[in-house]
Amino acid sequence: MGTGYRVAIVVASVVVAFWVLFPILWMFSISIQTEPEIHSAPPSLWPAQPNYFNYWFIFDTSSAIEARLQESGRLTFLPAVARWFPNALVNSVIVGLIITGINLIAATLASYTFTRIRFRGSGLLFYMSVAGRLIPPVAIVVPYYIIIQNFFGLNLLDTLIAVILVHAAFTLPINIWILNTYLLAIPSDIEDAARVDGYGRLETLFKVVLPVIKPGLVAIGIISFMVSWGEFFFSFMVTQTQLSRTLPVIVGFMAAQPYKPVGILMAGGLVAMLPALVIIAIFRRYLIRGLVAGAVR
Amino acid sequence: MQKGDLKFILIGLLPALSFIFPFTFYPIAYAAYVSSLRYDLKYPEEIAFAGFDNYIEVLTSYYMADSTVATVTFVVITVPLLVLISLGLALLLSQNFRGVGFLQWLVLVPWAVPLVVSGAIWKWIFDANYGIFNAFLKSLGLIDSYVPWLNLRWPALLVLVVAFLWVQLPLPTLLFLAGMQSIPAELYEAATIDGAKGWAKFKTITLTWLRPFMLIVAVYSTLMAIWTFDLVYVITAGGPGNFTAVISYYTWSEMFTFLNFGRASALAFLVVLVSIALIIAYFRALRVGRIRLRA
Repeated sequence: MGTGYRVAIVVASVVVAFWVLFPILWMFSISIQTEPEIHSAPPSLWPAQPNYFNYWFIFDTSSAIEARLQESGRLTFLPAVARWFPNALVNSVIVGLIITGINLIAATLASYTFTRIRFRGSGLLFYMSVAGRLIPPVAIVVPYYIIIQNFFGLNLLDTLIAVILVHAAFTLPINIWILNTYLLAIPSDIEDAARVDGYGRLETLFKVVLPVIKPGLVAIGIISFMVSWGEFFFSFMVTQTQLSRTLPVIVGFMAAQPYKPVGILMAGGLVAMLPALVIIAIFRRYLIRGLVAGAVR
Repeated sequence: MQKGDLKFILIGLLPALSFIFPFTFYPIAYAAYVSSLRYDLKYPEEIAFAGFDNYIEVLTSYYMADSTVATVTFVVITVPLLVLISLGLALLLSQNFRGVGFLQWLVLVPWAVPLVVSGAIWKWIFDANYGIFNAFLKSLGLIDSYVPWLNLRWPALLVLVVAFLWVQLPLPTLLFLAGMQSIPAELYEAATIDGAKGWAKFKTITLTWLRPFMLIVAVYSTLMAIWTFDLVYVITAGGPGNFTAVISYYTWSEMFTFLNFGRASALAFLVVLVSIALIIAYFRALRVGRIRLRA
């Protein structure tokens, strides 16, 4: 390839890297500044003395507040809701992992049934299961609240189960759709052979189909985790106490304080994105391959 | 259908559908029902059937014209940009060069940032007093004093567009990239033998192959653009004036500020109708006659 091509690649890469990284690096820089430093003009690109108080604050609120009190003798406004940050981190991980598990099992079973068994109403059922995603979230949030309040006689408001139910309903349709297209691109000859050899449906699914659609499974697993990890609106609506809230909700609360502690918000945002970044880094290859069967490189 | 299949259909579909259906049809039915009621939480004793009154009230409301303009403007600017930029990004990321793996990861990074936070950081970058954008322009001598970007109509809208693109680019890029990687190499080889050059190859093979992906991305980004609420809420809160108050912002206001559930549901259903019309239009325009969703 010519020099022009190489220069174009380098220039494009630098532009892309700047576009993505600038806000993130800027977040990091703000997160290690003190509030007076953050509220100064012109802003300093990098603090002369990095200050990790904001990180300390979100992980150990009480002792950070105490230290600040002894140091300056007065308490500036700090969002006490940050006390729940570690708890929310754990909640988010639990919900994310369970959602991933539910999707792997339920979406695989459903797409296999939709694509491999011909039965009357299969098309209708499929369209019915993806149709819900055409409704703007704000229109259905109140009915969601009502369902969760009385889920077959149980009041699930303010439990992690509520968050899990909502996220499962959110992620399953898109994942079934992705797996469907994936499965359709794979010829079913081997499965038919296995069936002739006397394998049952479940056996065929586990021993023949699963190994083939592994990239697709990884892709929907990651998508489920990411969607659940970042979802704010519904998690906010079905939880009432800090105990059951997930990371985006707690971070959202920190952002909604009357006096906005920008540094703490940015620190919280950065910590909140780390696990997701690691997961994308590990599974990136699968993610690209898994979205479309036949993507091999 | 073979023997035992009925049992398997039950096993296969029950887990997924028992999560999906209660959370799909009950909410839709409920919203449809509420949209036909006079349902104002400020007057809970006056809940009564109202026919199409909510729809008429919403359509003739003081904000309808302005918010439609705001929404259409936002959609018309963001959707083409989103499609074109993600296509370009995918093209870059499908090349073979050192560090492309890292770059592929990098492009997905905004996906991991909670939306409230990405809204907050963009708002802070363009802040009137402490924003780095102002500091940057001033140090270059392009402006004499700091500009309150978010108080100016078009600049505020453009900040929203930038934040929206930053947040939404990862998924379409990923889809296009996956699509490009599924193109059989033989197609390109054959075209090369036939003497096709770069652009011709891109047009006839890549773009043709990517048409179904184009459809998915167009539908996805349109829905996301029409529904954009979080970013508007965090960054401009609909201002300045009502210039960036998009329809979903009013849906939210009707519901949670004015507590008028009837009108909010009616507004939401109008948005659904428009979304469906747009999706059909996309199918026509891209002539993906029957996209294969299932066997």
